[in-house]
Amino acid sequence: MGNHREKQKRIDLSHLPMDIARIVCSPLLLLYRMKRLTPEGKCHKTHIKGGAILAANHTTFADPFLLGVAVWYRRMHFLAAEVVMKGKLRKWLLKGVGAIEIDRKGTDIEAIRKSVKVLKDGHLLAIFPQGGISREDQVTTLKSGVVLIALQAGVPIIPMHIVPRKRWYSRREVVMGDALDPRAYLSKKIPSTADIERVAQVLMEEMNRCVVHQ
Amino acid sequence: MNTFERLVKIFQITFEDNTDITGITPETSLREDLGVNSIGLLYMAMAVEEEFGIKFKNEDFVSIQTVADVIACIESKA
Repeated sequence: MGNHREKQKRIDLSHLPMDIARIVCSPLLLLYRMKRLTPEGKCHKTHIKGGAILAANHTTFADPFLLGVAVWYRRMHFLAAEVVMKGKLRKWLLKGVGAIEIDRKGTDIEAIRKSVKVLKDGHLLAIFPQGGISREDQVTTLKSGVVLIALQAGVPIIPMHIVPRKRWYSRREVVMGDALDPRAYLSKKIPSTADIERVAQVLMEEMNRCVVHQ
Repeated sequence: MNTFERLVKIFQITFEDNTDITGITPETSLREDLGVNSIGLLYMAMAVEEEFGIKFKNEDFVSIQTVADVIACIESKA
């Protein structure tokens, strides 16, 4: 019985659309020739293991796919605003490739719950904590929900910066900072909302560190 | 300990540094009196879910304005 259940878990088809999309989109690896860098400008060679949140700046609608290319070796889900998920076909396609719809104006506890689940299942989740598209390099505002999700799932947050393309043929670059464990910044076991906001500030500084040293 | 007292205990932990929760009554408004933002509300809801073994839906937050609304929601789900 136990073996049967394990086998069922292994033959989980829920990620099939995402895996097909990854195969179909694999030529993007060649097109973008993605460079993964450390904040010091060196080549980032370490592969991310286990569940983790990728927290990046958000400059275009293509950002989730850029991050997907940067972590091509892993399945990656991403949070998508309700405005992006408009239309039945688009919603179906985006959900298929791992989008989790979130209502940014309301109190979307169900989206938080889904996010925590994918992270606990050991997957990656891309979040753009600025809460929308911003053309500025520096992150000046950050929604602390990203820290709440990380704490609930018990996973680290990897601060990232998607470097804007200088020319259309330039290689795409993504700067990846050191994994930030929110629990390391807490003085007590059960944090307060003020603690969550404090960690969000630390994350913002780490995200900006990826910009300064690019 | 009744539902109100258990809820106040949750407020003490979750809003510890941000909000003055002394003199809290069932009529206290979460947003106006306690200054709870959407993240605070989510975090409080998660703590309530754990304490009372219930699950909130997104629609529940539309009617939650005061402490009494939270109690009513908990009791309707318990």
